[in-house]
Amino acid sequence: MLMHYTSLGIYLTSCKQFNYDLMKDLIPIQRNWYRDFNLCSFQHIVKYLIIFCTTFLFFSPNLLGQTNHSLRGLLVNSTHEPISGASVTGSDGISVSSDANGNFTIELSKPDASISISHVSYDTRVVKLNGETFLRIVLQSIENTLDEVVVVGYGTQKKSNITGAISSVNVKELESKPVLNVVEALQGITPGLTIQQSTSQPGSRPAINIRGINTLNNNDPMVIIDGIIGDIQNVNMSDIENISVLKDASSAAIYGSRASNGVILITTKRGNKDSSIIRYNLNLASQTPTFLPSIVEPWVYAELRNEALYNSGRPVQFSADQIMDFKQNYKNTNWMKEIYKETSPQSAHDLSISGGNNKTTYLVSGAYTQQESMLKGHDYGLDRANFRSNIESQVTDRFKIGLLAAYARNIIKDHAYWTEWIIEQATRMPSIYPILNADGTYNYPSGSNSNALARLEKGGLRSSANDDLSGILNAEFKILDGLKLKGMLGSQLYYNRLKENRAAIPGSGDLENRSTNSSQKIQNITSNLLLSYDKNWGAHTLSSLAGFSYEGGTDNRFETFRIKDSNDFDIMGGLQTTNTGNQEWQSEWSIYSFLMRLNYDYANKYMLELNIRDDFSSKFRKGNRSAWFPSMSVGWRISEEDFYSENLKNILPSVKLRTSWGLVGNNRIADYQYQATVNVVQGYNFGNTMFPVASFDAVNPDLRWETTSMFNIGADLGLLKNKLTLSAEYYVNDTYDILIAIPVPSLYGAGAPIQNAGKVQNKGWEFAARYLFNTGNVNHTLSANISDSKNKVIDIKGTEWISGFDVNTIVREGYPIHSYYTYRADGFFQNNEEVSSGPHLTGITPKPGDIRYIDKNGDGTIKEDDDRFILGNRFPRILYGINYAVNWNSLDFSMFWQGVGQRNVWMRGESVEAFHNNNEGPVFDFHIDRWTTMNPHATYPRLTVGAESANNATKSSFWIDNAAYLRLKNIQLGYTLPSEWTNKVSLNSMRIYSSIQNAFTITKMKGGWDPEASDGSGRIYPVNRTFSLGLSVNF
Amino acid sequence: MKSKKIIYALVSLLTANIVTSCNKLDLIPHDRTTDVEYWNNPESALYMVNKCYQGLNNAYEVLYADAMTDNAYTKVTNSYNQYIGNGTYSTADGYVHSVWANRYAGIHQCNQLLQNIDLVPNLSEALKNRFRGEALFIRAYHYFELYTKFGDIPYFTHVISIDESKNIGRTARQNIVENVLNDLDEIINNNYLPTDYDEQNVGRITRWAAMSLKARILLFEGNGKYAEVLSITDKIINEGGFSLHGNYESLFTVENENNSEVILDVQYKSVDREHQVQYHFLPPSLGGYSQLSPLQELVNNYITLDGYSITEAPVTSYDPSNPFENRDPRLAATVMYTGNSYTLENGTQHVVDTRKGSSPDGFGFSSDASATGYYFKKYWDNKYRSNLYSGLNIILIRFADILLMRAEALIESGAMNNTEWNRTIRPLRVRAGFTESRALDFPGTSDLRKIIRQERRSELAFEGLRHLDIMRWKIADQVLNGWAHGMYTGDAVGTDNGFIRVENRSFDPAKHYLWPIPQSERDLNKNLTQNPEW
Repeated sequence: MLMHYTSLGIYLTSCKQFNYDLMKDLIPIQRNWYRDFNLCSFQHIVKYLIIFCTTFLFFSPNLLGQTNHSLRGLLVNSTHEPISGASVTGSDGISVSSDANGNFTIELSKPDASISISHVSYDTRVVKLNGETFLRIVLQSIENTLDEVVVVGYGTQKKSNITGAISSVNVKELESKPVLNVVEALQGITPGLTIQQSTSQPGSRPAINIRGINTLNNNDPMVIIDGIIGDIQNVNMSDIENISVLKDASSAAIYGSRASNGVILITTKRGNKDSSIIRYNLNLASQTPTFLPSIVEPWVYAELRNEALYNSGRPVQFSADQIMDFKQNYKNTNWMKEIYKETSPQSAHDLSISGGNNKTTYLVSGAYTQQESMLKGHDYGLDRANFRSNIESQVTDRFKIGLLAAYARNIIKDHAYWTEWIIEQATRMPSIYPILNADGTYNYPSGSNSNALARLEKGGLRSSANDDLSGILNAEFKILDGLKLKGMLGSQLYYNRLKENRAAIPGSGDLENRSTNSSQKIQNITSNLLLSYDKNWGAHTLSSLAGFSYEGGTDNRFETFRIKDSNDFDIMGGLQTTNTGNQEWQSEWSIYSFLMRLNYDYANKYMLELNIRDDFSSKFRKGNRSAWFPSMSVGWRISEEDFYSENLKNILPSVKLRTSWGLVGNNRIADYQYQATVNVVQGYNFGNTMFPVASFDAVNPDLRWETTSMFNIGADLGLLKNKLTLSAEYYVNDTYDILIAIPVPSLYGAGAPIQNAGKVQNKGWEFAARYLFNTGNVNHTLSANISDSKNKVIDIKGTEWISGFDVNTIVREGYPIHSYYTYRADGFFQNNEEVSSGPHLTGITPKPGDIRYIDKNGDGTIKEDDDRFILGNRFPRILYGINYAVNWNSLDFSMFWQGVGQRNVWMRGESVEAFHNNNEGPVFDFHIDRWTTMNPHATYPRLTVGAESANNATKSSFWIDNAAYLRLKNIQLGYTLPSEWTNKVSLNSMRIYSSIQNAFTITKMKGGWDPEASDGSGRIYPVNRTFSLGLSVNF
Repeated sequence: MKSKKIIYALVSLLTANIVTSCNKLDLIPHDRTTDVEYWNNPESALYMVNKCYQGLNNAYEVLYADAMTDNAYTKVTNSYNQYIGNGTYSTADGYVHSVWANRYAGIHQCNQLLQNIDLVPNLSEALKNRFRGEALFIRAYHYFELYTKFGDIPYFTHVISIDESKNIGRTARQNIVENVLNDLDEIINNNYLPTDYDEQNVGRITRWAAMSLKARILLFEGNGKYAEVLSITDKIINEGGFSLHGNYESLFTVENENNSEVILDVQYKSVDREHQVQYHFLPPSLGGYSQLSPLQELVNNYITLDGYSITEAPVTSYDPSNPFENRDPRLAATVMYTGNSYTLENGTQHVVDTRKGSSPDGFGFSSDASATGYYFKKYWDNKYRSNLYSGLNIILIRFADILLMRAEALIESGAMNNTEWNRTIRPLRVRAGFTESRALDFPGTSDLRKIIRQERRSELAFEGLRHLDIMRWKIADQVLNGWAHGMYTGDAVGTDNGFIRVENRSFDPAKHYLWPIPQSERDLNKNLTQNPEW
């Protein structure tokens, strides 16, 4: 059935409905395990896996029993691509090579002989025949040994010579994950790269950070795709050849400006010179929310509601008969579940054709991805199409050109309201009310004037379409041996259109028909001209680079809206001239840079790298524009020294120490900030006439570059013949002249302009290990990483500021940026004596069972002025990831665990508080353990409603949750069909696999919320758990 | 050789591209000018003075002001002024800080105009004076709003630098009052401002508005200033051409914006400049959240149709079991209680039931329902757009206030008589709908101070003036201590004599007649001293 399904899938990929139906067909088999998934149902996963394995074993061909002296074989790499040119040597000395398709035939003297396979890029393997006549042999790439080539800024370097802190992502570990963008796949893969996914809303992108928080400013790393700044979300994952994460000054300083938060370099695949490959991948998946709030059943709700009303001095609401009726007859309506579908399909196809001859190589690829929203409603979700064409040609011996072109289009359809409103409304509703009335109309219980489902189904549509087109032209000219001139011209055009058509919902409070139409066009141009010179003499190796670069961009936005009497049409036709408005914005920026790099290496023992870059940015006024960003790094391979004995080398074959220091910059502030600009807009009316008003922007003409000084020290070790590699890093980043609008007295009256006014220190360490080993025919790969970073505000000129409305954070010298700032809860008042001895919040007299707060200054009352504590922050610490992959003949299995050791998240409002804000709901399962005189050791205070809740609803540490977690991020099982079979249908290889993303999570979070939740509340589209089946075929 | 040509071609292509498509480093915005060029534009003064109007006041600040008094209660804690009403505010209070910051931002805008107006080309002397007059007025208004709350405050009349803002100290309140009055005298005596405007400019500050503000400032000073109040109000009454609008209830509607009674208001206009303040006070049945609700104490203030306070009224006049019968018609026009109704745009009546538990507007029914069992009715705009967006103007000064100020000054200076009564209080009561002589006629020897204060509260409820009144009368410690109440439910629990206990308030007269200087401001400016007890 699976085969039938997948082959149909290939030919009918464009038919969405078809896939959808297939998904439905598939799902009933597993109906028991994909629903209501939680930690407890892990055993079901295991069961599922066992069934899966057994099925595969059943399918596996029985290859025993035949003997022949002639062996045919197929050599493939771990991504199932054929390996040509490998040398296959029999135990009796005969040697053959594999052809372009990876096939070889060798005559052997005995059926149980051994063969040895060797290739420059792969680990040598010895395989015993055991009488088999055909063998499919997987060779492990030796990329993990030290001769791997690493992509660095404006070039590549041998890994053994790297002196900076660069993580080269093992792209293999990203494969076959049912995720929609590479950011999600990167989570936990590499130390120092922090990725947080708080939502899976179609089109959303997880937050990315490299090595923690360096600045009060923007902390996003720079992403460079094939040499130009690009949108990481729009890269087709299977087009990616390499991802390098540049983490220290030495590696990033070549990008000088905007490199202070690290750089992610993505290189896409090129064609191969001697072979043509057609690859097709299919992934079909089904999504369910990872976490949904765990609200109580109607009868429990009714009892707790009565208790809360009684505690609050109000008459109770439900009679004993009603409660009994709830218990016996009432269906539980979890409004939060009612707004999501039971499962939502997701599918991805990608096809690439690559190849080339001696002169020219090409890669052409296309991908189509479709993700339905988990929310109910009309056809919400994401459709993405990717196209790429990478062509390179050696025009003459000395001259090479390349043209890389990529296009991505995302179409996102969503409801026209804000997801926060929808989820908030649904969360607040107790389980006693149905979301729909018996007659199918929407229910508006409890005086609510909105119904989440009505807004989803009747509230209109917001659709956005964005086009991302990039083209890069490369030329390389060899002037002399070792001397090359390279030119690059790249451009990215990003065009986004958003149409929001909000429809009035009769019978609710949403009574406006409003159409908004906006567009944004961003055009960025990057060009550079580089001269490089490489020379070897004796034990000396020198490579150098100098160049000039320009980058610039224009951002243009336009928006128009119209409020309409009716919602008959989706577009803004007609002649309406009232209740309408429009606005256009445009801004531009540019940077001119000179850069230089020098690498010197003596006998592979001593390495030195120097970088310098001078940037001129349009964001600063003349005189402040230019800044120099130098860096240097040195490396020492102790294991290459003469004194390093052979004995030592057997144990520890490679040891490298390296350190770097340098400066990198940050200019990420809005354009024109150094100019005192005046906005004139229609802003006040006299009678019926609107008049323009002038607003002066806050200004500081003296802005200059923000700078981060980075120090890094690291070591790389190879053990067990370099099968086990370890690397460790320690770093200290000091950011100064931070561009931040520190508070000025309000007396000033003109707002707070940005100043170069802050200093932040960020320290951390990273550790990564990778171990490759075999047990018999089974290849194992185990890799793990762990990292930590910790920031501290050093200097903000004696000021401090508190941000946030429902959640307060503070920026204060000596503490991490945006630390939580609130009262500290101190258990519950147990009796009237304790209550009377206080302390109390000003103006509130608590009762037994209420939360007691710590009186920090001991003045007897709890006040915001002087009783708030600094209590952790939301930034994750101790991040770790563990990947284990195993290959056994045609079967492969991998699992990837990812976790955070320390993080706090401040939940609030209806996401954690019973009867929040005098609402009728919600009541979660953890509220059952509330304080009563019978239950003095409760975990939740006494239940109250309305004004009686004032004491407990106050902002305090009580609501700050421990968000540490360990998650089985991905588990997958694959099977590569025997090539005897696949060859018959002219396929080189075919792999089918199944995988689960976000399989399960161990966490202490309350209320059924995801531990990666962002601050404040559960008002967020959940992260999805994805079950998928996939297929990859090479022709 | 061929390759050389290609590389030359490529390099020139790249260079050409850099030269032609690049942005330079000296970039300027497309949709804005810079401050250097700005004042060269003849329209610049007009645009700047318009900006000053934006900061003058707004619907939220005006209507929420009553939540700091015994007229109203707000159930929201964050961002609004509940803590000021109940006395639990601290030196870190967000609302206190926002008043401080917004008023000083407004002062900055006025100073910017006054300092630069001479740079503006082609500006007639008359127009320049008018702009100066408007800006001086608005600055005076800001300072008045500040010193009435904070006492001594930093006072300056030029655009200050960040460094100055970190060092400037507080000026004695009395000096500020003098300066502000001098500014207003400059406007009034030199006729900077016209007495009225054409239709395109209706809503701008007139000479009468300047005189009215002066009267308000003088009255706040109280003793010693009554004579001046009397002379100004006399002039406004005789020469201003204002008259009371025919119907009290329709005074606050879109149809009657800028009517004969309005001296100054905050202008709004649907769809271009709207407020959503109705969402804050309307009942759930009209889509509101009722976070701002009238208190029983306000309801009790309204006299009976025959002129009695309810505490003194004979049973024939006031029946506690029918408390809304036979009352000052302004009660029904201001407060929504069970049986009262809102007039919808199509003329039908939307009757409200606030009885406990009744759906959806009843007390305690849902979190959207009123915390006091009453809703506001004044400023209900039945022409609201969806989501309760409204373009209804909010009145800052109206003729009724001039009459009340005059009446108060007369009473305080012992000069109230039948003639003056018939010139001030009587027309207000006639307009309100009173017909019985006991309510209309000069009460002679009665407690006139009590009468004028009660009258002022009934007439001006929910118009942002009660807070200033209880501060200058120094009665806040009497009216803002103890439980604030909602409507009568008769419940034994959570009530006083059956009236809902809404909030336990406290007001320390040694401390709370002045707000604290925000601590965050004092942290940034070491020369800012603190008010007593804070």
